Amino acid sequence: MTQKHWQDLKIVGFLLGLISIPVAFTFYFSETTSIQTPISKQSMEELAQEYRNSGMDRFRAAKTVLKKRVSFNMKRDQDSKAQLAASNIAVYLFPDLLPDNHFEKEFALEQFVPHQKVIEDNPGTVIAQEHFEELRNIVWNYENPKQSEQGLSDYASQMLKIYGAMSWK
Amino acid sequence: MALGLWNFSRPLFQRRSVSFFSASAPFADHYPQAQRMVAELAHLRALNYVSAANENSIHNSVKIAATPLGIPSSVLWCLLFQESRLNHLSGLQEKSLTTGLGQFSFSAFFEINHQLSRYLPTAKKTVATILGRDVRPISADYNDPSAIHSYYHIPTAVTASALFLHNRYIQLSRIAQQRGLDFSPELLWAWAALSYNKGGRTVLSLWNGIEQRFGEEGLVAALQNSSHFTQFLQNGELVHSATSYIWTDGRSRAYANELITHAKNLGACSLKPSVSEGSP
Repeated sequence: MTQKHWQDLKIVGFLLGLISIPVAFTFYFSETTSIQTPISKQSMEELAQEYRNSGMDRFRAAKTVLKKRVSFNMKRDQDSKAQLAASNIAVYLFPDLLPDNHFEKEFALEQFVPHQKVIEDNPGTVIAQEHFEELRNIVWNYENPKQSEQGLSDYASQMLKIYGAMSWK
Repeated sequence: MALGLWNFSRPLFQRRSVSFFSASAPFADHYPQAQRMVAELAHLRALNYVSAANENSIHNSVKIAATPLGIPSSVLWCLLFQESRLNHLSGLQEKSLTTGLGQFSFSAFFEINHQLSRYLPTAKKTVATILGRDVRPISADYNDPSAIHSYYHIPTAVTASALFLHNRYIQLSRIAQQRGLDFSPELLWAWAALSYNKGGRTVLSLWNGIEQRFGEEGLVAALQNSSHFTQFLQNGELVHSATSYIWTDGRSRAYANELITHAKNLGACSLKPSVSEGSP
């Protein structure tokens, strides 16, 4: 390699370095800003839309981002609404984020998560539909066994909509 | 489906010693306890809303189903009284979503027919012991209400309701054990009866609320002492706070009021008077 080549490489490296710093900066702050956005029951609807519009891969990516947002918002003592929404989303999607002394944690981990995992791994199959049927009945018995007009909570309904759509694709 | 959900076959009460209430059992031997309910039952008889034959059948079925499942008879009978006023055909004409003696819904039928062995490893045998054979799948059979598999058949309805109540009990006892909480196995049936009517989520939300406000000691008192149980369940602000964690505004208040009424009636019907009055 000649002296000239070395010089060219150094210049290219320098220019790439110059570009990568603001790119990394922008990426870091956009993700941090996204995670710190207050959460609400709409957040689950957005996740459902991600699946409907863009399919399983985008759903998984969106679910990962939502998990980070839920985790952040659960500790947000100054915003009780966001904290409440985050806790409810955690019950139905990310129970591992709930504190160990939360009485719903073990129930959700053992009763919801295994069915959700099977459905995500086998979307649109008979197996997914069987697991969805189990999940749906567990949730009704858990929240409103009399199936009164009260219905299910918004968070339970959204979760069932997501996994119902996924089961029947 | 072979998911490793909830190993309910694990022996109960393995973490800590649990205080039994044998010396001062909270539930009455005779029921209903409250005079207003005795009067209401007499009124129902007078109206022929419940016949003597059906009332006897319900009484006998309650004894037969409660014993192998360890349920205090008064809790099961009072729960059915609360749910349907002992009308085993409730909802039959209307083809209601919830129906029969224990006001069963499709999710309750699903659990008894498909998920029972998760709560009761000897499900088939237990059902057969109580009813003579495993009559599942049980359904609200509008066309043949007196068939043995029908929820409108009194022994079947009582048994299915007892099993559903037992499942609620197993769920709550597992959760209490996982947290290492001391609880009265007998009083936990009252919590299970609330869970039967209002769902496990409401009960767990209330447990979270009691623990946040009164610490673990307060929660243990609510799980061990029937006076504390009664007091906490009559604390409208506490109960509403628990339901508002799940539902918004008007819905949470309505659900809280229903829970308070249900707990009050269940206590008045099944608890001995000294504890149902709420004296600590």
